[in-house]
Amino acid sequence: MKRVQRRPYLIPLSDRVAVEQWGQQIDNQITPLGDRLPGWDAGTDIRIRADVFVNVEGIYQDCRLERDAKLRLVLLWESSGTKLRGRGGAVDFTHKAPSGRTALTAHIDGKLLADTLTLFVKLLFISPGTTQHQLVPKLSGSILLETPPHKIQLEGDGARFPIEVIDFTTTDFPHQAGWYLYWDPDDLAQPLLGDVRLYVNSRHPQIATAVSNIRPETAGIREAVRLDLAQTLIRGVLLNPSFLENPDRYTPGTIGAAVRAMIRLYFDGYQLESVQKLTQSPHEFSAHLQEKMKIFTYEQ
Amino acid sequence: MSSDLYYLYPRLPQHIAQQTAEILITRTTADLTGTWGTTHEAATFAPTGGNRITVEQLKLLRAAVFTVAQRYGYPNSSDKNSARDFDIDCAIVLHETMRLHPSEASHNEVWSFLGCVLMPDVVRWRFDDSTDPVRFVGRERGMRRHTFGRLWWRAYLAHNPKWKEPYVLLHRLNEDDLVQVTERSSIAVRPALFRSFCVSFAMAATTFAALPRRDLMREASKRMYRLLSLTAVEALSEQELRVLTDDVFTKTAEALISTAETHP
Repeated sequence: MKRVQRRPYLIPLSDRVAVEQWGQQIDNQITPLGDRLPGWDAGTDIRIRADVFVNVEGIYQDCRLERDAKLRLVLLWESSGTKLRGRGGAVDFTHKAPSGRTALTAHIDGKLLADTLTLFVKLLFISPGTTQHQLVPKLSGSILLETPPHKIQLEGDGARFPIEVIDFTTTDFPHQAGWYLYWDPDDLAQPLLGDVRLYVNSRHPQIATAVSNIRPETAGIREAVRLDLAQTLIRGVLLNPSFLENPDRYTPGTIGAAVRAMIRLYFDGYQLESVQKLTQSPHEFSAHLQEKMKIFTYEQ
Repeated sequence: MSSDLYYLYPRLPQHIAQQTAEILITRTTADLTGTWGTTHEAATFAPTGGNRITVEQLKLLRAAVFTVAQRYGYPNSSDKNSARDFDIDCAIVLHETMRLHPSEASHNEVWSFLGCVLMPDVVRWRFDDSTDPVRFVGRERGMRRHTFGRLWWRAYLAHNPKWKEPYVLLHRLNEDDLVQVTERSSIAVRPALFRSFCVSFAMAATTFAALPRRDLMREASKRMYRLLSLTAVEALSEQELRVLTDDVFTKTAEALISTAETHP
């Protein structure tokens, strides 16, 4: 859509509304909202809070509005992947409202989003009241002012590990296990996102919550899972003669290529044979991986 | 809503889907009968965001769509009316049974899998005179021209569970109407606006029955498009939105009547 260069009605100065901080609400805590949400997936809703400064007096003066004209401050969002748009919280006000800070919140359903999320705060005209001025908007919802967009990349650049939460009692996996890595170490040419899956037992609510709803207090569980996955995958490929013979045979996107990259990252300078030998001393192999993967060094 | 209520679908890479579709468009419905599958060696899944749909569930989805196709004449050629009725019923079946969310539905590869692997015979039957691979291959989130993607998106946008007949808009708008309103992407990206606009159109088409339906929809879409550059309609309540869309159609109708009177 073409951007409007000039609007056919009076608008306020751009500093009459300013977002002082974008925050993400996790439980009852607000943390600053950056430009990436790497742990996000479509099952994760996003709770946003915008702390907004509003100069009510200035807006009414700039727009020549009477005191009973009604305006609306609203938090809006759009997502580039789904193309969908929606709204969060809104505050309707007239000239009676004091200038100052107000908070707008939004609870955005993750299933409506993909790729990026862009947030805006907009000031809208709703009704003129007794305003007679000719250069007043005619339509309810007319945009008087919008703050600079805040754009968030929703998924990290790296491939996400395929995870599925299921009830293990409906499978032949050990019913009390927390997670189960489903893969075939003998067929490393299969697509990573097609063949490998980390099943998480829904009957273990702490583990299921830790992997499906990223929160700082459950980082320890995710780290334990991460270490176990790395150990399992690396040990598995090193038992595959085809991999040992030529690890470069696997094309990008395959399981073989992903684990090859993992080995080169965590065992930089090692020959494959040396890594294989290390796996025969499980305590040393595990400690090496813990150090290289920086396991448990996350910030609480 | 918990993620286990939604399915992740197999995704067929675009280059493979395109190659497959180039072959499929050279075949007839009879050729393709029985040539469907539930898996493809190149298919992948999204890593998270739901549970993978199983082979059995894919078979159930296919069976449901196939039943609708048979109801409207499969494998015999469909006329315009039965094609429209198929589209309505199929849209509802897809929306009600796929357990698909917009985030997943935005991936073209999902629609490519449905068109090229799971139900190519149904695609060929529905568009038996088409040589356009896009009927099989997902483009633009599957929303435009894909046999199933466009139907799912229409049902998703038109559906309102609060209404006595949640899918009533699919029955009230014809194919041309729906193409107009979904291909105006600025309307279709706002589900509440989409519904309000369609309701206002259905009312206006009755009130101004003498006006060509196509002109009314096309001109109102243009008028709405212009308004969207000045207004944030997603910030309006359902009632405010309805006032706006009713006004758009009233003014459009008045303009069309005025033009007709000036240039009879």
